[in-house]
Amino acid sequence: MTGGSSTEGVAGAALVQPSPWFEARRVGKRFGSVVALEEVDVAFRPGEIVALIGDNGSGKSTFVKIASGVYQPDGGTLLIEGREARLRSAKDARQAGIETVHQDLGLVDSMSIARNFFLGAELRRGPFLDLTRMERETRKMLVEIGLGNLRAVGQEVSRLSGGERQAISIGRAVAFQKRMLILDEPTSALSIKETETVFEFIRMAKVRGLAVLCVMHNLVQVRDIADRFVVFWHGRKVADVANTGQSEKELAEYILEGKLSELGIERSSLDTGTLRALMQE
Amino acid sequence: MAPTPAAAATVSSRGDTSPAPPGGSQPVAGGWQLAASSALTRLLRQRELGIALVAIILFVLFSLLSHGTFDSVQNWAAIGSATAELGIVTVGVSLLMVSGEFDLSVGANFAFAALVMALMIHDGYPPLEALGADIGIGIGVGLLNGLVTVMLDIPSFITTLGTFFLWSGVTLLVTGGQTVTILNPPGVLTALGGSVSGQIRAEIFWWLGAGLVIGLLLHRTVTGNWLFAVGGKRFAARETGVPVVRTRVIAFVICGVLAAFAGAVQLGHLDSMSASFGSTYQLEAIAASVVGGCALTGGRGSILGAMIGTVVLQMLDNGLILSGVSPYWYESVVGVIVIAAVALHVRIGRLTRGAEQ
Amino acid sequence: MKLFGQSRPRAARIARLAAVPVALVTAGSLTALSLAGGASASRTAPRSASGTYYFVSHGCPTDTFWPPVWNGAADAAKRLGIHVDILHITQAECGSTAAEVNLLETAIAAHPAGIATTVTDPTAFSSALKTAAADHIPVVVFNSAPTANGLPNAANPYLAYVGQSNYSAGVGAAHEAVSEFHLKSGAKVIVIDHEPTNISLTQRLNGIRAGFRPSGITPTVIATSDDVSSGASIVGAYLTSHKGVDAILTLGTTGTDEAVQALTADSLHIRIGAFDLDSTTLAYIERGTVTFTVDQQPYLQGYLSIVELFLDKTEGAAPVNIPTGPAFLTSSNVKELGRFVNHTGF
Repeated sequence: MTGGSSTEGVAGAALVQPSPWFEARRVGKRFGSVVALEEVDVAFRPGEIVALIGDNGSGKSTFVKIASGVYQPDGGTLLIEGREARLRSAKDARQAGIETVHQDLGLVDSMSIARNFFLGAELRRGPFLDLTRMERETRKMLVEIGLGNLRAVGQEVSRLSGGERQAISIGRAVAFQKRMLILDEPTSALSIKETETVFEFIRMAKVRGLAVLCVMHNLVQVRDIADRFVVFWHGRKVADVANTGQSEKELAEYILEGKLSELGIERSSLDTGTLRALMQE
Repeated sequence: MAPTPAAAATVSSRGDTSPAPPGGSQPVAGGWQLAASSALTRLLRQRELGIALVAIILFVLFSLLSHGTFDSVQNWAAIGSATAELGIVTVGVSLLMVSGEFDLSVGANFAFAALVMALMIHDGYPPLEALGADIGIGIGVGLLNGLVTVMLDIPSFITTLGTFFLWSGVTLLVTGGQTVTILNPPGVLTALGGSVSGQIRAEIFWWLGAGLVIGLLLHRTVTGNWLFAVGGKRFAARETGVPVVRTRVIAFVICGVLAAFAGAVQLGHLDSMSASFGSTYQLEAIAASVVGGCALTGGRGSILGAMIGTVVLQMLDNGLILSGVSPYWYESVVGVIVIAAVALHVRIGRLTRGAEQ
Repeated sequence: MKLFGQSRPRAARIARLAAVPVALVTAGSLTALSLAGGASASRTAPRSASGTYYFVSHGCPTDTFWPPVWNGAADAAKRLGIHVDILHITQAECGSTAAEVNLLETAIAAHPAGIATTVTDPTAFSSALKTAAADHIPVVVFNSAPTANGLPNAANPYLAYVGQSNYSAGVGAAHEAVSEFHLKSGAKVIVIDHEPTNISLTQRLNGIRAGFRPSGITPTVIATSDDVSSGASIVGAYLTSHKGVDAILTLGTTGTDEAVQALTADSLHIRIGAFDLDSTTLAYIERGTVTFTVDQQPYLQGYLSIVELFLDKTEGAAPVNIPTGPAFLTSSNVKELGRFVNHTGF
């Protein structure tokens, strides 16, 4: 093996990679005079978990809202399977195959699991809801995605734990055979054990061939789940790297690169404590 | 709060949700506990349970206290016709409350729509046209409430407080405050509120019919599902693609139509209508809905519960009289019942939902 | 009851209708009857539906006209040793005919010994009254009748009416106003209608219009409500924007309060003629704020309705119409009534 062939090998691997299902090209968004996103390019491939990380105000949530149809970009284009796509509303995005699990999970606490599962995509028989079939299908899907022990599908979602709710939301995306799953801080309110459970579901979505975008704050946890890190700083993409087992410190350095250059600090001179302190800011 | 069997099942099954390989089977931890408690839980989960208990207790109490007059067929015909008009209003108000909104203008809408209908009949218009005008006004009033609330993004409590004054004023303007009396009621009015057999009046069937139709709409159709979602968590509903604005406006329109229709029914009952009729309905309808299990915060409620709630209010009014208790007590007792019923709903809710929230 | 023994000039006008003393005699003899007639058994009789009488009215709980009516019914019950349940609409239901009809239907469902009720609408009470007739429940109507002369009709069957003819009382009030206030043709008179939904007030109003017509006066009607403060502001606004009002007629004590409270320095000269009597109206008359009031003896309406029902039940004596008014009270003849008025309204 020569160095060249090694390079070829990497290139070959890149060729084997499936083409992106969803792509943002030079996407920008401004609110009045504030630039929230500036010419951002990100691609999402089936079966790949992309972790979007960055400081507060780095443009993560703006990007999520554009990808899920809540905001329309001012500039640039969105591509789905290589074709230009316009996502005018959350409904458009859902119909295109993008399921977003927001921080509040998109679940209505006061409604049953089955009604939540089919909310916005209800099954009917004539003019009426086909509740029997909705409950049966929900149960079937829960079993299929490994949530079969989640108690009666007729009970209120408010009875479920945080992890169970995440599981339902993710399960909903998988069950409806969406092509892309966007998760906004999926583990922020969960215990360690529940987080691991949710990660299992995210991995399952990946195995099923969904493109996954995962916005996360926690740099320790994100290393366990991501295939690739995309890092935003002040509305720009500053890094887009495969997960090669970078340390928490290295991730923090990606995030803080912009800030460090502003402050004129050498990256190598940083210790973990200073990094943490900077992250806290 | 002590863990109930259901809550215990919750605890034992939590954390066991590790995903199996696709298609794999799952051991169901705590399943037997579930089976044992599910019948009770299912019963407790019925929002009508609390109010049904209250109704049964009141029925027994008044039957004993009234020397056999309370539980007579004739008295229940009287309770039925007293319930019907408020009941039709309450059906609409409870649906609206499920969607997370209030309508304080139902009483004004009731009188305004029915007065226009009465004046039209009085002036010789075809009675069905007059009924159409009544319904049309109901749609218009509801649409205005809905659009103003949604477009201006103000609480419906405020919108409908405003339209309550607006329509009350218009009604007085149109009639000068006078009562409009129909001396020779046409068939339409008899069909709405006339006698079916003895003391049993048509309005009872209109109320039951309205309850059935709206109950099916709310609990068994897609629109109903969306009403619950919009009232339960509006943002979540929007995120899942529910047409939130349209659903909210529809709720106001349904409420408006039913209030106006109730006015027409009362016109059929009394052959007489004035601006002050229905003036107590906005608060009584909210009280009946709340007593029947509608959450003030929206997202929870049942049409059947609200209907039983209306009957309970009328049972109180009627039963206190027949038991020889001063009717002055009525309002005080209603106040206590409202608080007690809501406290009961909260307890039952905690019991069935577990205490984790 | 010194009213009728007065020798003052105005006293002659108090009892325009001969039936008033008749009514008093009836009441007095009945009381004597029940006290002497060994009716003591019924005094301790256990309460049961068949022995209960219901007393239904549209009286607003805060309307000071009504306590004397209710006191009259309660006093009659006490003296006769019978059980009378006095049913009230709630404050929120003031003016709601449907609320009173509901009370009446509840009373009928109990199959009581008798029902006394007001009838404030020509159609709304019809089916309830027909039901009572079909069930052979004796009904006496008091205070407000569906017809101008107080008599029952095919749509509204009942046995008798205890109260004034509101129409003729209205005519009388107009005549009284013309003579007391020296009103000329074209004089500006306003009438305050505080319960526009109440047919008996409408009957008074029609009487007033008819009574003024020969004098060439067309009164203006102002619709207010049972809420005195809002009613007063409506009247006040009218008086501010319409100068030159000569006189105000009211149709009841609530309207009287509204009229008096609406008066300002600019309008103090306006003369007021009232309907009905309570302690406040009495005070207004004593002070001269109100010149006269048309009294219908509310206490007797309550008392005699119960007495008639009782006699119908026990003696088979068919109830008869008893006109309890109108009587015209002015400052010259009301002074001695003060100590009764809170209880009897007389």
